[in-house]
Amino acid sequence: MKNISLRMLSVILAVLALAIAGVSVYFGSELLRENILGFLGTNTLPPQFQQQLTDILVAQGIITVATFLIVAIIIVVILERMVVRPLNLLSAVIQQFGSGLHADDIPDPKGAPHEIDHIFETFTTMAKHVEEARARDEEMSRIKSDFISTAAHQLRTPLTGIRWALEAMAKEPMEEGKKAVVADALEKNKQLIQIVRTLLDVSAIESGRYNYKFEPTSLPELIGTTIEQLQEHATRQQVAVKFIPPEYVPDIKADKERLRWVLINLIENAIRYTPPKGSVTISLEPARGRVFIYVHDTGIGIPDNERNNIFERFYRGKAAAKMQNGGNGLGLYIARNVVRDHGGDLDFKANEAGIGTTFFFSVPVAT
Amino acid sequence: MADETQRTVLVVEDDPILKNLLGNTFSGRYKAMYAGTGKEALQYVEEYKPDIILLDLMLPEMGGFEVLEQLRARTDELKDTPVIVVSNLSQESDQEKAKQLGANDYMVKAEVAIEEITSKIDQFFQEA
Repeated sequence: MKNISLRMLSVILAVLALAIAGVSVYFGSELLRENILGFLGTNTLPPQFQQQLTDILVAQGIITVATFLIVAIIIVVILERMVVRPLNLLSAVIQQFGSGLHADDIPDPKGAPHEIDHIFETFTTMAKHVEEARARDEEMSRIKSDFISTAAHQLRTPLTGIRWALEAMAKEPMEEGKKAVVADALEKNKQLIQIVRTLLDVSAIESGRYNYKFEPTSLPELIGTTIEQLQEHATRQQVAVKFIPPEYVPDIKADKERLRWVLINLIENAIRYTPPKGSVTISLEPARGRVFIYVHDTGIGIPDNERNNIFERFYRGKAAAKMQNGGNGLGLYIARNVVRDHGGDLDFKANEAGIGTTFFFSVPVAT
Repeated sequence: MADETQRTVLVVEDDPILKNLLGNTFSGRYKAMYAGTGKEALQYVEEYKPDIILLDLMLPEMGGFEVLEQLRARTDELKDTPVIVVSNLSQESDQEKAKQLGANDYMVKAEVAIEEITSKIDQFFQEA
């Protein structure tokens, strides 16, 4: 049964009361007529008296029923004014608060009984608390984003100066030994710049979780341009990057830039940990509303005892740490978070024999 | 060494060392002038009518975004002066905002070599 409204309920009760009044008036009049006849000690009255008695009883009945009607209407109106309307107002207020009404603008339920008034007061207090918490949240995220830009500026400005100065120096003629020193300094400087970038990415991704822009994206295109971007790095490492997309891949629903970030990290890692003459192969596999992406390399592999750690912040594998190749232990941590925000998970298969690793994850198909 | 054929570059940069480093590279290539604040930048645009502007975003007095906004709101031909934002702000939201306000390009300062900046400038000059 559907829930009945309070207004309907009061009308039904009023009608019921009227009906009972009608019935009781009818039987009351009959009783009265018999009593009067008994009192007069007769069974029949002369016709003119009989007519008069009926008139009196009918009039009395009408007055009684009318009084009941008026009382019922008054009760319905009072319930409407004092209970139904304040309650409707309350539910409207609750709804509006959900969509941005300020706690200070919550109206006063004029004339409502104090129980309802009390609900309003309690709700207003609660709304104020919610509002304060909301304001604190906004303040926190503002502070965080201010921190990000300040950190970016404070750290990057000197790093830029060092970089540009070293670059200018590297162009000057000088003896080989000194040239190597400058090149080393430049390399380390670039590593620092990269670390700052990654730290900023971590905070941006962590604080901007809710600002994802999901749009239909062509995966083969995204992977193609990402590989192009990394081609120079791959050539330098003498690693071949292969990608042959299947004939048909549906568009996916993804945050293009963040997904590109994941791909860059996975492919760059694969290149980084693959010895010269090795290869990195990217493949795609559409399956049931998702597309799986595999990044396979012929690199140094990941030992089983490090399986659970490699996605942790700042963790670096033993072999990886020895290589001193610019990894900072954040890439996979962020990549996994981004993939999870796409409703998938990032995982890998490593070869027992130690050679080669395949990272894989899935993203949803665009609808 | 500045000859008449050299193009004019307005560099808006408040860090003196970065300004010098850019200056060393630019000298002989372009006629470069330097503004250290947003207000100065707008003044120099009017005064020198540069061919291109390198614009930092975090600037004293008036930020780069506002400079961009005011420049694009002009009614004369200076309003279309190409602007390359060269800033250490790297968040996507900043890049998007700059593009929306009419920046022609965006480079993250620490992540580019000076040579990349000059080749970007040359690219704009060739296209012009």
